[in-house]
Amino acid sequence: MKVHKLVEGTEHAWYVLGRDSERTESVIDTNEYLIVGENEALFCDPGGTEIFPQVVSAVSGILPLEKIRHFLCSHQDPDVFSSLPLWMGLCPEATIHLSWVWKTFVAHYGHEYVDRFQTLPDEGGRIYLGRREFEFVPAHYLHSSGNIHLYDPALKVLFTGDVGAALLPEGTTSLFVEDFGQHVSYMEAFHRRWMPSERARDVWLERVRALEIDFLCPQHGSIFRGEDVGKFLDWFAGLSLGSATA
Amino acid sequence: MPPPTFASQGQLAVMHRTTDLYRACMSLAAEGRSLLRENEGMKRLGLNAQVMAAHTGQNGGSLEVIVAEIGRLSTSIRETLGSIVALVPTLNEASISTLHRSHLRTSYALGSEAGIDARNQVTYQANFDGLCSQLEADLASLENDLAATGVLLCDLERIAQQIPPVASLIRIVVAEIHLKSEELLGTVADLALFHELLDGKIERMREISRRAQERIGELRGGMA
Repeated sequence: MKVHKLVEGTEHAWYVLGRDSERTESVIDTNEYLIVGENEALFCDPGGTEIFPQVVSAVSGILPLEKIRHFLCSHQDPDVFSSLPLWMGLCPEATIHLSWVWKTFVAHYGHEYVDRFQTLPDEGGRIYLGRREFEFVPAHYLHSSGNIHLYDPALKVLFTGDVGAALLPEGTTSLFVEDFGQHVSYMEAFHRRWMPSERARDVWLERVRALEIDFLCPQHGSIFRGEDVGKFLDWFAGLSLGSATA
Repeated sequence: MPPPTFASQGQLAVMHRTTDLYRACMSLAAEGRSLLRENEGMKRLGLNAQVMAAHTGQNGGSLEVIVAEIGRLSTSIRETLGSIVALVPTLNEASISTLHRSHLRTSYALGSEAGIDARNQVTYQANFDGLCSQLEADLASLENDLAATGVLLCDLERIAQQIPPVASLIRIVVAEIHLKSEELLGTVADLALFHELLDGKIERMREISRRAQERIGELRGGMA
């Protein structure tokens, strides 16, 4: 599994974990994002049970595990956080932030930890790591009915869950989009099928276009940086969604 | 092709054993419940004999003995099976918990194999040890329930051994009072069938229980 420090500020840094060469090919590859502050850390979509061994091994090299005080579960899918009980055992102080919609569903991964769930309203919310403020950005119906993204205004990073996700060819090693034109072919079918609502897409685009974004970080595939962020937003704006109903 | 995540054959074997243990506990519970339903048939046989006794006039006294015997057997079987079925909730709970914790244990063990940085090893190991203790408590609870089931199966076997003498008694009564009763002779056949079923079920439950105990032993060995 690749571990890469995405960006670092004076008080915190973003790490991305992905391209797990040891995972069984029957499970989709995922990116996990760890935000490490001075005294605590926030882990976005820590992944499924199947990849937990590689993820915990990689994370253990970055920080003391008990320093992880927050987990973001962007939506309910098993590749997002079926590893919940494994992380709860290792991070006894941690809180799980998730949409209120999924509280009783995600509890199926580990009902004994439900008292550590911090549900987010549809409007999203804010969270602090030390003095740094982060924003939980609503992204409902993209693709999940209760979907939350995370924005870091200081380092201009937007974690977008399945928005921007791509199914890359085997053997792709780069963590970043290198050729946007070619990358479209890896994400077009995914977005057409998984994203059900053009109205939801437009609401989300209006919201995120108001943000300054240097890195747009999806849970699958490559990270968009610099000009590719704008290219992605423009491309997504023109895409017809909900292909299975066509 | 990359190797599977569950690369360790040892961990894979633990997973299979735990799943088999869970399956065995569920089967044991299901067999107990099904036998309890079958025992309703015994009640019906008792009622049949009671009706015959009422119709037989002065010879009804002998039949009443049979009615009482069948009633006693039916009650004993129902009570013993009831005790086995009463163990089902704890058996279910402990086996589900064992399955769940065993999966967690496997993932943690694979995490160790993948390598945990030195600064996190104490925390990681403490968490792993805590989980293993809980798993051991689950296994001990399962073992207790299986032992209790074993005792109850012995009781059931002793009760089942009383069925053939009751059937013989019916034959004697039918011969003594020259009762032309196909229904009573049918009861003898039904008793024989039920006895056979009971014996088969007891043996099956013993076999399942043995398999579960073997898996517990293997899991303990695998965790050592």
